[in-house]
Amino acid sequence: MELTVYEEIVRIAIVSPKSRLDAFAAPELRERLETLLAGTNRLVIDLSAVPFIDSAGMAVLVSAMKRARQAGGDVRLVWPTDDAARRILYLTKFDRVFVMADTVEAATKEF
Amino acid sequence: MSECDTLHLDMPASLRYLNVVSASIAAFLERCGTPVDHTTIYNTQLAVQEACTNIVRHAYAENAAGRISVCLTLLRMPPRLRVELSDTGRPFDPCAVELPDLDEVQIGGYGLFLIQSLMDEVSYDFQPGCNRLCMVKRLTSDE
Repeated sequence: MELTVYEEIVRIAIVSPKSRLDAFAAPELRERLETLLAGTNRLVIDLSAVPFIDSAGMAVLVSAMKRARQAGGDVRLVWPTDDAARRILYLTKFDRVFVMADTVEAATKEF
Repeated sequence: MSECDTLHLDMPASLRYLNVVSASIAAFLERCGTPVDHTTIYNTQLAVQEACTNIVRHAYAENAAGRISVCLTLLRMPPRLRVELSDTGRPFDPCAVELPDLDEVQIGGYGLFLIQSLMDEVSYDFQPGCNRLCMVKRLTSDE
């Protein structure tokens, strides 16, 4: 019997910030994401514990997504738990640009 | 709290202290005598923080020692919060910047859109040596 077996392992980095993503914190997150994107082009950024996101934080997410997509991967987001933060992502149409999920498990499914 | 009750902050024009502005807005509104929902507070904090970030990055792009004056005033009938930001940096009118096309993926440009979208009134005034951005937010529900 001829049989070819190969194993494909998909590496997904899951990042879960726990504090404000504002213009002060954004550079550190950008640096961490760039390091991770050097090792994988699939990222899940879990925003569920993030209490506040401003445009600088949002810019970091878009920047990472662009870089991941250029490499054939993607960045998926888990919705913030804070309803006001969710509304901002709707307002800026992030839900149309990113694949959004309610949980990390849902975000990693079929990645 | 009477109409003349105001809170003044004089802070370094540094991104490090953005959280201080946000915390001050929340604390001020908590004691303003009018119930203010979380979304209204959040939206106000976000708009003001975006405006402060613009001052740091644009007005004081070449002056790391600049300062931002923040004045919070509660207005009545209907209840509103007026936020005045003053700086002595380069003139920068956020009202004059073209808003982004949100259907296109972009890295920048959300800040001014958020200021315009989340506040009820936004006006900018430049006098020699002083930029003044005034924003007003109704304290009725954003829910």
